[in-house]
Amino acid sequence: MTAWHFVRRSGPQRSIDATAIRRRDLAKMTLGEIESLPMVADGNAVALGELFSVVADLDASDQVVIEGDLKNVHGIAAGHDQGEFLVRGSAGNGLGSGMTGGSVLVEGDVGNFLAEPIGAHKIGMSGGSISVTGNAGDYAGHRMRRGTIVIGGSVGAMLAASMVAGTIFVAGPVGENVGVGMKRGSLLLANADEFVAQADADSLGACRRFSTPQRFEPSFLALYQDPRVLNVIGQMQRLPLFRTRADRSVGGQAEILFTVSAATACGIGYEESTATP
Amino acid sequence: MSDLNPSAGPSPGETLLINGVRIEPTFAEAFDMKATRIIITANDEIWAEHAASAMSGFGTSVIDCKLEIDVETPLWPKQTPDGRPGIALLAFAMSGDELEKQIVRRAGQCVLTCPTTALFAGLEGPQYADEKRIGLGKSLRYFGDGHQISKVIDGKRFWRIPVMDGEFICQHDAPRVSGIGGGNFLLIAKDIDAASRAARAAMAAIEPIPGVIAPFPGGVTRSGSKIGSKYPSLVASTNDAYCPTLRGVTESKLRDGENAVLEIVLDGLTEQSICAAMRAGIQSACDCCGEHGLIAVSAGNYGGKLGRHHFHLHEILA
Repeated sequence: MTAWHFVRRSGPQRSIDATAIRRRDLAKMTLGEIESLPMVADGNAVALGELFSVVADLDASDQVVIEGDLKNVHGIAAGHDQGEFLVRGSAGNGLGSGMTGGSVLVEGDVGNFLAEPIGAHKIGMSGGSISVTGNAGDYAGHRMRRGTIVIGGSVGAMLAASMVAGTIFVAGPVGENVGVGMKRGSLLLANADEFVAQADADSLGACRRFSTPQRFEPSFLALYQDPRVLNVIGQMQRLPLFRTRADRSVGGQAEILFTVSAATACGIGYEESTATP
Repeated sequence: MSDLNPSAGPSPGETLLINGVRIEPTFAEAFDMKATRIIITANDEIWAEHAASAMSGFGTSVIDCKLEIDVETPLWPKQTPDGRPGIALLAFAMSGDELEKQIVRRAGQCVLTCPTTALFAGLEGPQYADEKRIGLGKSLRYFGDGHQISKVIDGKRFWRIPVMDGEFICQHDAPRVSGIGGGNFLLIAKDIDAASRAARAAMAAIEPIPGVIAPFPGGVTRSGSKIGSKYPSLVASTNDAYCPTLRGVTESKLRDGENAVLEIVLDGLTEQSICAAMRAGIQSACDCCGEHGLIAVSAGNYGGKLGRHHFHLHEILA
């Protein structure tokens, strides 16, 4: 087993495609081969060694660590299959795309298309777990098929769009169009005030897409042991928890479990009766 | 027992007495079975006990029940997968297929039906990673009629099946391991009251021991059996050698004054667990009733031809 440590070198590159850094490929290479691995930066082929310094050590389990200024590094941990992939710093788009197993931990924010399908594939993440301590951009969990994503901060628009299965926990606020085209899977939102506000603003559309929210006791949450998941669950258990099924406009049976602030919770289901004539 | 030192304990013909109780120089003969442990949890101990009681009902002997199953131990909330009160059960069958078939049938009728309960595998850990598995939720999920939800949590798959009190949580499958069935000992007493007291004392000592169950009512059976019968359709019939009422009719192993016999049958996950249970049970029975009607302790075997596990009483009690 090996631990590979990549540190981003400073450079003028505006966009780096890091999909070539895959554990299963690294395991077959010498350090020299890794350093000469071709990558794409600003549309040009560049040796990995020019972009990152690399250190490989024997370890008890496979681990990839990447750190530095990674905001313009896209496709980190794409196709990750086993072992741990640790990202120290905020990452770019497409993190964990097409991931099939193992775990990815991001100590920072991530860009758009977290765990999206890789390339032209129709299925996104299909196994393993991703944990983001900060925020995520748009289209997080797009076409996700299996696995668990935990986002400690907020997410952008189109969260879990066309999700097929799996579980996503979000501790912070969510953007527009949550769960568009969701078929199955679970979305757990610890701070859904904006989600509810958007549904209220477009009540006709919301009625088409979501079932009426019901109070729900999710006993399965007791099975989670991951402290990052427990942190989100802990937030949710302090407030009334509701469940709606989505996306009903495409016959979806996915579930969105959400908690809202007490003020918003009081508004759910009471708006018509309390409205001024 | 197959791997114990045969020279341990008293030499052949030597008498072993515990508190005046004669320990026969014989052995219990046990055989290989397939086994699993399951955990039932519920919102409170009462529902968990109801489910466990129903699940382990009619599970005394594979001769006719096809499954030997009983409560192993109650579990504190911190010992269960979902942090609720629970009960661990051990189940044994003659084959892996039969074990799966019986567990699924019983879980579907006795646990799925019981309010607030959930069902989990009880043999988890890396040491069971390569074991074959029997389905639990793998089969029961279809009760959800398409509304069931799968969740993979920490590498384990669970099913959430919608039911009228919420959701029935059921682990997808459980490992099955090789177990041992048919460990036993016979308590021979002057009368049934003394035999009952001895049996209860033995069971009180056996119940806390992990990895072993005594599936008969109260852990005890009066209808010890021999293989075969004068009736061709029966695979087992009364153990006439230990029936006090048949002395003088068939060849008896009972001496004068030995008028009641009760048998404790044990199934265990390992030879060590059965040994520990036999040792504790016999010692407790002798301590309690040695001077109050318990005369001898023996064990049932078939000449060593049926099972490869031989639990020699003198070795166990040495």
